[in-house]
Amino acid sequence: MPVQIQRQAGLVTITADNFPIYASFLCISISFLMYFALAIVKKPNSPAASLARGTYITSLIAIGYSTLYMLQSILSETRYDIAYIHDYSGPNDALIYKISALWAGQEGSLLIWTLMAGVIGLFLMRRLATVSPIIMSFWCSVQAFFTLLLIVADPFRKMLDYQTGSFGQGLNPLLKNPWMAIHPPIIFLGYAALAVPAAFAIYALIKGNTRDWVKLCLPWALFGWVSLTAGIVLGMVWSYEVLGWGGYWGWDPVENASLIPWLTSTALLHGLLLQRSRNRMARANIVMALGTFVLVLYASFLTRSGVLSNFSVHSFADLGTYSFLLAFLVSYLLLSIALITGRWRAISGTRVEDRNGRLISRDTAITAGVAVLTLFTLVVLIGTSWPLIRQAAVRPQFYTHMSMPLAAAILVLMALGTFAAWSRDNVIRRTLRNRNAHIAHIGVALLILGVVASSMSRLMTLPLKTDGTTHSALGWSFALDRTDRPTDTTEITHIIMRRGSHQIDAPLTVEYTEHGAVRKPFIRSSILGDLYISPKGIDVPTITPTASMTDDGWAALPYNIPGTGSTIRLVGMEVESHMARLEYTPKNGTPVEVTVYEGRPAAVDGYTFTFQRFVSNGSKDMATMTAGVELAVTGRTLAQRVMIEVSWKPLIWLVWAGTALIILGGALAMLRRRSENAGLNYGILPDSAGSDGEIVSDSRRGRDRASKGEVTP
Amino acid sequence: MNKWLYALGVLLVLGFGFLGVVELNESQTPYITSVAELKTAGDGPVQFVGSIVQGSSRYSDSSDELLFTLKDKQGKAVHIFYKGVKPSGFDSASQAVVRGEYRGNGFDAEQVLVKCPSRYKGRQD
Repeated sequence: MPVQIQRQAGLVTITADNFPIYASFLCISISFLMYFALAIVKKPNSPAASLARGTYITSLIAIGYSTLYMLQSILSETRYDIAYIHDYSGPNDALIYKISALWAGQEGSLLIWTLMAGVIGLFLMRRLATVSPIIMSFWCSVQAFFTLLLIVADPFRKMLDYQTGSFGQGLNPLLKNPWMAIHPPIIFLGYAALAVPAAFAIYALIKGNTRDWVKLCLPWALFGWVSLTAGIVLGMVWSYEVLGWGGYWGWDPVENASLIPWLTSTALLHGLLLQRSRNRMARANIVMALGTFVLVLYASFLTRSGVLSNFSVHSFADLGTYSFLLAFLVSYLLLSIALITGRWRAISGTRVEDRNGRLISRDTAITAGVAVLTLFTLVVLIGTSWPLIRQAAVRPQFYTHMSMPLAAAILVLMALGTFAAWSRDNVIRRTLRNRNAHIAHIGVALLILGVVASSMSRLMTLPLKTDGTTHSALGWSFALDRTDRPTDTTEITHIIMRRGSHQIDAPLTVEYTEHGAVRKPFIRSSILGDLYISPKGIDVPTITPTASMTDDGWAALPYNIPGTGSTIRLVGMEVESHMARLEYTPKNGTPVEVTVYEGRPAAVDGYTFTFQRFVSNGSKDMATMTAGVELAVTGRTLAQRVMIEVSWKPLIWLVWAGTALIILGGALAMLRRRSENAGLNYGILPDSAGSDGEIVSDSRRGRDRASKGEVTP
Repeated sequence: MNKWLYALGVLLVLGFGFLGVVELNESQTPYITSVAELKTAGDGPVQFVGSIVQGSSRYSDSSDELLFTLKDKQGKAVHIFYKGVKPSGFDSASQAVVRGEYRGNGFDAEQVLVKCPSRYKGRQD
């Protein structure tokens, strides 16, 4: 596929740059083996335990060093021989975008993910290592997997055809947005933290104790969930504000890949809360915790292995990691299935009936909610995987149609769950106690309302010209005013919008870059909705000065810039380096020489010439052969035509307000569960589910105790 | 009472599953990479990917019609007709994914997705 970055994994070579990654892999492997051995022989104070801890910390330091080294190499502006740095950063990028270049690409984002997972593992180790080598050996195996991927997709791989002194291309301008700068690390933090419930679930399965892990992993699950939610929302905001297609969610495989684990972790949170208070859904929670982890791996497989590169314009290309990702995905899937089936009988919860035994209660609402979220997961999972199943893509309408009944069911269940609690005594106390859930649920309701309202948008396409004509749409009149050129590569086209005596200047920015033209929409927000103006096409006239082959080499054919009296001649070109030398002669003026490189437009006399491509008439015969260069001309006198798409999106702010409330509710819940665990002695984790636990026997007493931090039976 | 609730749940899930099958059939667009396949694909929308033949595109400002030619890997060409604004980045694109229907003399696209030019093509190692 000549589409995206095509690089096969070369032979494994250790260099001074990537050496720490190899060292880290060695250490984490030792750590894994030690923890694994400790899990079997159960000698927590043996030298093997300190070796396991020491190698874990060393491997983390090595990854941390690699990350800082990468950052320093980007900031130094001297290491453009490293392919990653060359592709994702450049000397002209602002500091924040040099930093975000660290995770702009696949290799770098893997490095950040590994680092974050490593730090989370440190917290687990501090509290749990002596208690449960099982958890740490699982964690180390995951870390080893990521580090192995870093060896295959080496972030420090050198460019083969690097020309000394050449600069990096700079960050893709679409990613030059504050939201996008912080979006990836937040998503990866979520992914990394959502592996914690899986680690606890494996522990619970092996120990046959499916009760105590719930309390321990709730804050982690909430933390991962809040991060993932925030990361997804940042991506939505970016998509809306930068991409200019007018929406915030396109059901693209890359988006779906993060939505799938989000849905399962949302279900998991509800299941964990229900198990915590009523010891219900014990089995389902184990399945959901492991399922979330496996689906995070599956999401990475879909977006990083290149399997969907034909179906999405966004999917990452394969860096040679395909077989590794698949192997790890399958291993963890098989491990999960084996453990769950082997322990199925041992992990059932004891059912505590609702005190009033009523049909509609908070419990049944939560259970049904988990079921609905599971269905939602299946819809997105099947839709996203469809290209792998049937060699066919699924249009977004599949998801929008399928999510309608699901969203309706979610609204009904949230209302039922809330009001079922209200009908009891102590309404106010109950409402206050569950305030975090209420905040998040109000957020979900607002989000759904916002999605529905903003989808009733009206859209019109208007062709605007510099001749001063106006077009009316959505109660406004639009006219093309002028185009400013603040820098050589930036154009700002001003559209004047009028309604009555009200006049607004809407600037539409187009940036010409090495990655192509980037057009940003203009959004005018109000309480009623957004007016969204998206530049669909800014037609830039092109000229094609040519030269013909003669016995003495190329001879330029004169070329007039239409309607201006100025001429331009092609006096030389280098096809290899995508360079053309031109001679520009203004009307009644003296010739000036201009050199245009691909991605580096040249400005002269108020015109900007941007290299488009080389053209030739295809003749093999020397006598008739001509070749030329196509240039885009932006300039003062050339007629310009701008196509804009204008749309009105009612109440779209509800989407953002709703997601903000969801994040707020989740964050508050995380703080609450964390403080509940504050006094918890992790050392008490019993080996089997035999002992009568505090949570099972009496849910109310257990909860009250838990809030005071007492957990020992 | 509980039995009825379970039955209702099962019924709802079954209904939803049925809806899923119907929707999936309606919204799936087979993915096609060769012109030969395109000609035998039958009715209904498909997705076709190919490389844009250099210099083949014609765009009408007044009517917003875009005509261009895509070539598959075997070098077989197909004319694409698209009614709509020229997608941004089209001029510098090397490949395009078109969604629409093949109608004997050409491909009627309802959507044109542009794949960015590969500046990394030459850098295989």
